[in-house]
Amino acid sequence: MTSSKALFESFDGVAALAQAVRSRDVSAVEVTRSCLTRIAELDDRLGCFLRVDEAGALAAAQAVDDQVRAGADDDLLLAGVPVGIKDMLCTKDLETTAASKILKGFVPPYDATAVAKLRAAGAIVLGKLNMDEFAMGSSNENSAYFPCKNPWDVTRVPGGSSGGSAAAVAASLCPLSLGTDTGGSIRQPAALCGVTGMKPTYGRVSRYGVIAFASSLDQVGPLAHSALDLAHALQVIGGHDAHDATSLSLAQPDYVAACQVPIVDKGRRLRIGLPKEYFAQGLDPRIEECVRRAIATLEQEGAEIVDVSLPLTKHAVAIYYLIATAEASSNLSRYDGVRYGLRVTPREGELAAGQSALIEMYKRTRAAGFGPEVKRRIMLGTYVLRSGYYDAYYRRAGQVRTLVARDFEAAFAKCDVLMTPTSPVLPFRLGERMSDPMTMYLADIYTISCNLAGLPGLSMPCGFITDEGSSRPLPVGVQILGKALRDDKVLQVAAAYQRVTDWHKQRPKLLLGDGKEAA
Amino acid sequence: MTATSDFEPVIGLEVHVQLATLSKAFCGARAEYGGAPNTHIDPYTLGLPGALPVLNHRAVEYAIRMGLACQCDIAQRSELSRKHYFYPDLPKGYQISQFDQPICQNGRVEFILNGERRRVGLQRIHIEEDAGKNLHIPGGRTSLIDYNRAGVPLIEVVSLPEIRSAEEAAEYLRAIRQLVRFLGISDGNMEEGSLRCDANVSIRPRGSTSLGQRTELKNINSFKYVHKAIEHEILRQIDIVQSGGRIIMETRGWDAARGTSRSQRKKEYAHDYRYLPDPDLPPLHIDPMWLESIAAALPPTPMQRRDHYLERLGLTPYDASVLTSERELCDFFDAVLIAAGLPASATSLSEAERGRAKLCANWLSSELLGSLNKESRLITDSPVTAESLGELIRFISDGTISGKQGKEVFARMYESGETPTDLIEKLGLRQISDPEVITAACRKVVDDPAIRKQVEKFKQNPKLLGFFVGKALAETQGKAKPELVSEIMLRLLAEK
Amino acid sequence: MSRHSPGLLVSADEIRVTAEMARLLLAESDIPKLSDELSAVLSYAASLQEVEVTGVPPMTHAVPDFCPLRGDVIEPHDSIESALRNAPSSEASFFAVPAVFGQGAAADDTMDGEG
Repeated sequence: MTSSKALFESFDGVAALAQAVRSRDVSAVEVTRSCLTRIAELDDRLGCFLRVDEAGALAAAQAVDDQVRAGADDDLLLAGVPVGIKDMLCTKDLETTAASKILKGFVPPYDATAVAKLRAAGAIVLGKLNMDEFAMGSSNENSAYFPCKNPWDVTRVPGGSSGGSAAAVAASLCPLSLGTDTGGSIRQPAALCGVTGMKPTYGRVSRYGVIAFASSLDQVGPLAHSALDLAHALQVIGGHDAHDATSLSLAQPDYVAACQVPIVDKGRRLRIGLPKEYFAQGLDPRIEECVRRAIATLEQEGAEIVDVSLPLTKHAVAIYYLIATAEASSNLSRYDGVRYGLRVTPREGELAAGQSALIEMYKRTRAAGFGPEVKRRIMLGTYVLRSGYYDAYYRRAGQVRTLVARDFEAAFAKCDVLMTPTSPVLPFRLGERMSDPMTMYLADIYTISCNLAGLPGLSMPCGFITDEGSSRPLPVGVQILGKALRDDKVLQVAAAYQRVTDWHKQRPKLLLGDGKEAA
Repeated sequence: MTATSDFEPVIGLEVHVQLATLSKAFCGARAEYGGAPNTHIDPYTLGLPGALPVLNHRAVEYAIRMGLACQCDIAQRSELSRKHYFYPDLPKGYQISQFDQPICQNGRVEFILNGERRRVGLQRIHIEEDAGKNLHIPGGRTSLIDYNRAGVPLIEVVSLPEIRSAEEAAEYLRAIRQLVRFLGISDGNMEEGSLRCDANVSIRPRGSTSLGQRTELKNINSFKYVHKAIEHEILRQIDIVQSGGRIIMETRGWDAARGTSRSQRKKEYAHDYRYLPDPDLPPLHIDPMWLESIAAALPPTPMQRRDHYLERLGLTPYDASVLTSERELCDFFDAVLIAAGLPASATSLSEAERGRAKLCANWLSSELLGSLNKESRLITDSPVTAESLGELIRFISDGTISGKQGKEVFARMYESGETPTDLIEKLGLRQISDPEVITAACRKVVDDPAIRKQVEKFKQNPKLLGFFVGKALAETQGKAKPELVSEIMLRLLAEK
Repeated sequence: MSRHSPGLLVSADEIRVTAEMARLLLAESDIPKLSDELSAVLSYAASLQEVEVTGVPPMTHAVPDFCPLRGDVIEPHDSIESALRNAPSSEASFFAVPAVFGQGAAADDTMDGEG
């Protein structure tokens, strides 16, 4: 049997892994077992997985091996590739909670479309990944169960909300994971954990079966070690889904082929736009330096660098918090303790005169089931939708959102992609920012506009910084934003960068339970 | 002191109509009424996390049919919105409805009130989804919920406050029921809740054009209750005003058992539904080609069919009303017309044809409906087909059988379901109208030496004609057409 | 337009009413904090009032303005057992909740139901 260490050390991309399984160099069961072993060894200290489905994963792996043996593996593009799924996506017969107590014990009778497509391609679902409750947060500290930690420095946050998805890939607990991104929830943790993560164009990946946070902003995307791996994953999970009315009914480009296209293609130089508002006050100068070096690398590869402006950037956070909370307050109305999840019923004699047991049940269930950040956002969202305030807040935010999208159109008239920092700050220490929601919200400044406009965005590592008072290097992420539907272009640029750099190949040194370092 | 008649009621109705689609408005669960509890469900119906809505095209088509039939403006672009409130039968904590931009605006509903044509303007018709059902166990501490109905498509038809009496409100509601049944978009069954009605009622001094404070009456789900509840509310309001009180804006529930209404107090903000354009459903665009094809295939409305019967066929308003009361009856009548040799679509008819149409109406309403009513059977359950009835009428109007014989044949048809052709043969009822055959029979009578005396007497006493005709009819076993026998007999006797 | 101009503090009473609408039971001690936090976000969002938006349609969806329609077909679904499996309380084949018309309910605001 191949050891867990050997397997991830020899890991050379998900396509190569699937090929090895299909040519029976290694069995899906062996690959799965090696991941399960590594999770068992390391995840107690990291908190990436909310639950691991060992039996289900091994059974699925066995089924893939059987298919391979029967020669029925033509469609198994991800044969035997272990994946972790953010707890925001429904998994049939596997508890799904959105890291919230209100959904504790909820076992979906169906798979999210993205999960079903992964399974159909032979990927093995290992379990459900930690996250901020209902994807509300940027640090994973809002998980109702336990926080997830950054594999590069376990005293620091992995980012959020898809913190578990990023940390699990960074720690090589699985080579591929799914996250969701509403305002940067894939890209920011990818940056903080030193992995490559992508939010596709809105509508590329079906939202069916994805627990809704803010429906007009939510998008599912993959996290992995390289742009090429993302391309393979997106090829599988993307595409039209008749069960999602916001799913794009367009054929997908060949993302894998796009990864091979050079920066200067048939004599045409790729144009990279630098929005000046993204290199402004508040950006850690050490991060700026890494990002500018990455841009210079691509310039050396032949890219043309142009300055652009996105003047409404300063309003993005305000728009986001009005729209996202309004939609969230609506989406979270269904958690009422009636059909599934938690129910808190007032006890006999607890009701005051004139109080309804039913209404009290609603109020207590929701008070006990939602964490403080979720309640805060439900309150804000409910408030801005009230009839007297709707126009001033929700509607106006929607109007400025239109202008933000127009800003991007104008910028993309001058360039093919934009490059920016992903996060203005390095991974911070756990607990450091919990007390101040507004500061936390403002840290999403670089990732939010992309969701408002529905554009594709990717974050990949572009360097490491050792913070003061720390001995461990911390990853820095660079973000690539593309025009709507040009997910292929975003992947092309990232892959070109990763061909000439090796930041994405760096792995954190992890301490095993016995104090020894894991590779 | 003012009199009751010094006040004018101002009434607007909100009518919910369940659309007769196979699947629900936003998912593939079964939309059919009834079923074992919680069997017409799926992830969307239960509001499971992650389930998403996709709009049923037939629900849209049916809403458009209603809009076209009511001469509404059909919006090229309309918006689906979420309406928020918490209730156990509402699985998502919101109902998908339409708020800002409904699919149909303006328009009108026409009907007959006390023989007069009335027209009530519409504000809008919009699409929404139904809620499930709460079952209350009297005195129990729990309520039980069945989500079979949750997500069934509805249209809400909102009238302008142009209704002026409880009677008119009930008639308007009947007109909507009749209309949706004729359009084939709903069974309009009030007992099963396919048609539900809320009323906004206010009063004002007669002659005033301002609107008084209104109350909303909920839960008036039969024609009888609509009439009673509104009547009751008008009198209640007049009573309050006459005794110097003020009407307060409130929702009142009709208690059918007690024949009275009760205030359903709500907190002030309970009406704030926090409408939000549904982010899961982009705005709905109606392709003009699709709209055209729906319009082209639109079944005629009951009022159009009524006008057709009055103007083209010359039927009486009463007959026309009876025949257009149900679509099945109306369709049956049209089939009778065709079988009787009168195309239903005919634009102009001769006097004789109009007579035959009248005959069809009479036979259908008095004979067939009379027989069916006696047994409480519906027209759809008629043992006599429209084709048979039409055929019978053709035999009567071309003189093959007499009206009296027709009744006999009809009775047999109703009993056995046999066709008139078969029965006339079987009963030997076919009248002889061949002049040669009749002349032969008549000649035989007048040439009979045994009655020479009577022939002689005839010259003085023409009343004896009946005697000869009777003889001649007997010769033909009663099958000769009597008028023809008289005519020929008269000629033969004159020749003598 | 609005009852208060944006940026004004969200009062404790407004917090209470909003919490009722959202069906969230708040401790009295949570109210001042929420009042501050909501006010902070809303005063930050007041900057949106500076943007000229006359004639600009609000963006409510990030996809083209087109609503796909499904055919009117019945799709097979899961059994009643799987539906009730997650129910906190059920009786026979029904989901069960504290009485809708229980103590206090009829006089309060649970009567929003359309049916």
